[in-house]
Amino acid sequence: MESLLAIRDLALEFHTFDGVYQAIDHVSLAVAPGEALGLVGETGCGKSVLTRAAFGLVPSPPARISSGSVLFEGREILGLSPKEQRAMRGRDIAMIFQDPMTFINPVFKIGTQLVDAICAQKGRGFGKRRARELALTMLEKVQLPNPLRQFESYPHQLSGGMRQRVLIAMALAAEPKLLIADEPTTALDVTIQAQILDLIAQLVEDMGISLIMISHDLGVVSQVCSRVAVMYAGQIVEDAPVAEIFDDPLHPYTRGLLASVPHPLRPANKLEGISGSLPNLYAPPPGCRFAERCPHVTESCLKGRIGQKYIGKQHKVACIAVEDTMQHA
Amino acid sequence: MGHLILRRLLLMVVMLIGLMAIVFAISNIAPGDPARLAAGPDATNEMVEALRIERGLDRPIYVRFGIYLSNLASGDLGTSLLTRRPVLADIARYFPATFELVLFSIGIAIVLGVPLGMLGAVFHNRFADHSIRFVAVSGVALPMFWLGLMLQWYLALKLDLFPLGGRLGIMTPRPEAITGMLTVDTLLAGDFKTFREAIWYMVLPATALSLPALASIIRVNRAEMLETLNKDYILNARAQGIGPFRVVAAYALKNAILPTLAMIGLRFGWMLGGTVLVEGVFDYPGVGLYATKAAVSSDFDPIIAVTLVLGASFMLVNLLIDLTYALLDPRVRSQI
Amino acid sequence: MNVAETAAPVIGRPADQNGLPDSPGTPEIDRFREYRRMWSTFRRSYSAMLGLTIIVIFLILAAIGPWIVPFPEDALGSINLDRKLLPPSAIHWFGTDEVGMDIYTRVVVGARTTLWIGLTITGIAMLIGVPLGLIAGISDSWVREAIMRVTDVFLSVPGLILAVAIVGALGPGIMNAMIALSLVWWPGYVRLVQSKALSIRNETYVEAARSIGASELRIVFVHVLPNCMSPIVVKASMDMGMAILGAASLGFLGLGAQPPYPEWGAMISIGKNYLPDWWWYSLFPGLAIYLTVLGFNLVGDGLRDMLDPRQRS
Repeated sequence: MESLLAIRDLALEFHTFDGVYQAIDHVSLAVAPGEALGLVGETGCGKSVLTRAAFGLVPSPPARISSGSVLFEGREILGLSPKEQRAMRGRDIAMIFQDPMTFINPVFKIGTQLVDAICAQKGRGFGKRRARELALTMLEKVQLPNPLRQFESYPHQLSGGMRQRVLIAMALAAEPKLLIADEPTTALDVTIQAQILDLIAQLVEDMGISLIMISHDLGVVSQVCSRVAVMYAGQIVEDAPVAEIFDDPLHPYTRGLLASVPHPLRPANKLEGISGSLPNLYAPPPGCRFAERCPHVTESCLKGRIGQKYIGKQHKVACIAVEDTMQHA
Repeated sequence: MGHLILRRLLLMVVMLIGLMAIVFAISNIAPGDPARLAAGPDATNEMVEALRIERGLDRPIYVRFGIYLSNLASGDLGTSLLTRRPVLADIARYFPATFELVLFSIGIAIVLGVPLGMLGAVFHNRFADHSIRFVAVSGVALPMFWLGLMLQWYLALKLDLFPLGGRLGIMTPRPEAITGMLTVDTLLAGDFKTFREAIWYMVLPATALSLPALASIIRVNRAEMLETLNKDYILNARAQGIGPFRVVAAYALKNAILPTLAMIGLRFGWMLGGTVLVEGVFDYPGVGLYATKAAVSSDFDPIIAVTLVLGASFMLVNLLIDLTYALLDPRVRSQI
Repeated sequence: MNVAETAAPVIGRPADQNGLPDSPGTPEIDRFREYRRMWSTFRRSYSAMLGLTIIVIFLILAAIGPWIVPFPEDALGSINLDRKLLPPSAIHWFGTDEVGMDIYTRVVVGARTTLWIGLTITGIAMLIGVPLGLIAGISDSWVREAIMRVTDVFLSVPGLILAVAIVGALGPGIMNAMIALSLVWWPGYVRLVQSKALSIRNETYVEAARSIGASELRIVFVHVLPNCMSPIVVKASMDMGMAILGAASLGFLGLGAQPPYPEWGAMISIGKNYLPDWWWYSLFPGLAIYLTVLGFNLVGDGLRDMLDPRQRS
């Protein structure tokens, strides 16, 4: 299957006062057209940086991409000029972010920002009037009550859920091929969360858009996505269809994640956390980055890089303790 | 909105009375004998005493303050010992010149300062930024009066590019005084030649007066832009593919300009004070020069009046700034 | 269903948050590391180091100036009409003035005057402003209102004009100029300390301290004052420069130091009458003011970057 987005061997570092912070460590990840992928991991594991870096949205310096490639529809986009990258953003790839409170400009009207974004996405010659019409259509599509009035409102007059709807409208107006939703519901009330998730899932399916849903919440991802990639300390440690992740988690970290959350399908008698904290990424351990916290750690875990291997047709894991049953497949 | 303005104006009156009380108290704890000063060096003791009673200087200070306030209410600000004319007439004559100069200067500072601060932030830590920061850091440290003198020495005296001082050439006929501001009056009279000349006379004093303000505006706007450019909504705007110019000059600037506005208001006040220095250098007939001359010869009524007028202008400008603030920031607007 | 939130870098600013996994445990080491980081921030800034250099030179001149100048007798005024108004030369680096005094000597000796002026004005302003600000910050009543309204009135008028008015009342002279400038300077500290104190009072940890019975006085000295120190230090450094500028301005207007007292502003005040031919008379004292004020401003900037945690990255 031809991938829509293929990140290969991407490595990114932050050069800071304290040294070189190795935020992304040779990560590979692919998204097929129409696929909904969940990217899961604890805060600071590099999920956001990974997706933003791929599209030139991480300030450099301090960030530096030291290796890898990012193919979008088979075209390398890492070396693109800022102008070309900008042309892709919004039109081919859209993003919605965590906190709708801070991601809308407080001093411009909702309508102005929508029209601006649409004009930028659609390119010159689209025209303000058509942009306005499209903006209103989008506001209806995201089920914002009273679109005409909200069009003339300022962000502070809208609730968090409404703002997130506006941001979704903004992102999807130009029918992008890929939507990156970066923890889109984390900052919202629980009741609103479900609505927004449903909305995203439904719009993405209707419009045939690929989705990368970034979250630290496996539950959120399981509602919307068909596949999950689990990130830990700048690496992808497991990558599998949702059902397999829940039924047959292989990486100790994934298991820890599952054990630390109350699972609706498999009620646990007792919740466990994962002891310890993220390794120091200024001087990451040479072997498995999870070794320090892993209950099954062995001598060989500490030596050398741990590569990913296929366990099932679509199930990859980076752990030497896991039997590589598919070695020959 | 109208309600808010009215409340602010009322507050201003209270503040001005407070200001007057302070200045009045200070001028009355002065070691000199105001009656003797007023009577002049040749006066006999009887004449001094007569003047003391005539001016009410023998009464307690709060009584005199009350008298001063009631006089003020009827438009009597006292008489200048130096010019021998009513202070109100002097202020009416000199204040428009000062106001014109300060407006021109703050205009220069804003028009140059805001874009330069923006450029500094966009080219953060690159050569352009370093040069802009140099201007910003130097400008605050330069003594205004010295800068004025050096400009005068080099550009006026040595190279003869600009006039030495004053508001217009001696031979130039004055326009009919309507506002007292030469640029406005000449425009009203349709006299563009004199208008240009009036601007020409203001260039050097305005440069000296505006440099510190320019520097502060650059500093604040640069810092605010730097911070704003890191905001989430800027990331979002960029993620939408909105062009860099619009992102910086509209999406970021409209947010960053709000704190800069506060600095502009503050600097306007400093400029009003700075006229004391610059008007002296360029022999520019405004209230700054008037106040300095009065201060050197312990002529109190003009000093109090100038303090009052400049204080009032400062407060009015700050009110104006706050209204602009509300105009630009919908969150503030919705609160009033 | 949340995974444990662990403190870790945020995008774009990886070192923003403390508590990175390698932070050593003991507070002493932390503090030492903190100081080292601060000093390193300061040292890496060229402008801050330039400012520091200027100030060190200025302080040395202020300390030993009278003993290293070529014409010590010119420091407080002497008359040598045979060498009046000479241009800069090997003997008179900055030229001589209208009564033949060596301008270089007077500029160097003026450093001490200037330092004295700056320290006095800033010191008095702090002595008045900081306690008033603390009182206003911790009292909830009319006391705060009274202090803040008086402060507002002082801040409602351009400082220089108020200083001119005060000197006009007290009479010209360097002491009166310093008194006048101190009187217009303190309100800035009241505002700064009051707003800081107000925000710290509402911090959770202060609420906690209060809930276990800490007195207001203890809260002020243990929590509020130490937290106000950084902004006060930064403001004081900036104000040194601004006070020097203010005093020089009054000197220039003839309201401050009176000639032949070696004060830079007063020197320029006389020197301006000798432009354009005898330009050195006003040029060099002006440069001295500029450099000194620049030095204090640069150091103030550096201190702000160093003490402001937001800047750390």
